[in-house]
Amino acid sequence: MASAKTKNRKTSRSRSNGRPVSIQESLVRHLSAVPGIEAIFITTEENVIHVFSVTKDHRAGVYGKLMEQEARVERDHPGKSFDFHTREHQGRPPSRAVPHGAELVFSK
Amino acid sequence: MMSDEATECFAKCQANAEFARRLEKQFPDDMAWSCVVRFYAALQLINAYLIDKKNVLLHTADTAHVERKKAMERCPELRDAPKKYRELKDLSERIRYDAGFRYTPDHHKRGIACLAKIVAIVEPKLTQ
Repeated sequence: MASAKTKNRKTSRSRSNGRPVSIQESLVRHLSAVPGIEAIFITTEENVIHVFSVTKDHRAGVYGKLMEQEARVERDHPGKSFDFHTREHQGRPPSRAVPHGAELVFSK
Repeated sequence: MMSDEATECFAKCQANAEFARRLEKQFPDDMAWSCVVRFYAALQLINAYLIDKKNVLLHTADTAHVERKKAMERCPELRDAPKKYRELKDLSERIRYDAGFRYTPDHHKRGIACLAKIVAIVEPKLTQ
């Protein structure tokens, strides 16, 4: 239920001029800030947006913050289906750790 | 008391976990796929729990990972199990799909630890 207090509040879904942020912008805004994430790629398959966050090596501790930020991306785009993944480049170019042809969204 | 379908999923979980242990013994220099099998053990355990959850509608025969994730999000009592499940799922995907991925003893330890944690959280809830 909208209240007077929240009526004019800027949310993460909109810019100050009211236009919604793109999926790519959401991903960069929320996921690039997670420590250890060096690159982000996306592919789309059967209406599901697959997001690949690439770290150098396996980082068990990344999941707490990463999954919180992934939830923010989903809240930015409630009509979309996302499937989130992490990959490790292990010293390779990050593009080698994700499906061929994946779109680069962010690189450190 | 578990439903018949949940009981089947739980039995599959146990069979997969045992299969993972046999793979390790049989192929001590090539243990990556035991991690994949552990992921599927975790998947079946999660299914076993979600099938009988009243506030969740899960058709295991055609449920994609996205639906299972959404179902788990409706279960705060699963605590850290979704994080460990996600970690194990990611490990299994690297093994299956990333041809250049190097599986190390550290990955192997993480896979075992993740399944153990998921079992510790979820299995006691199956009998409730």
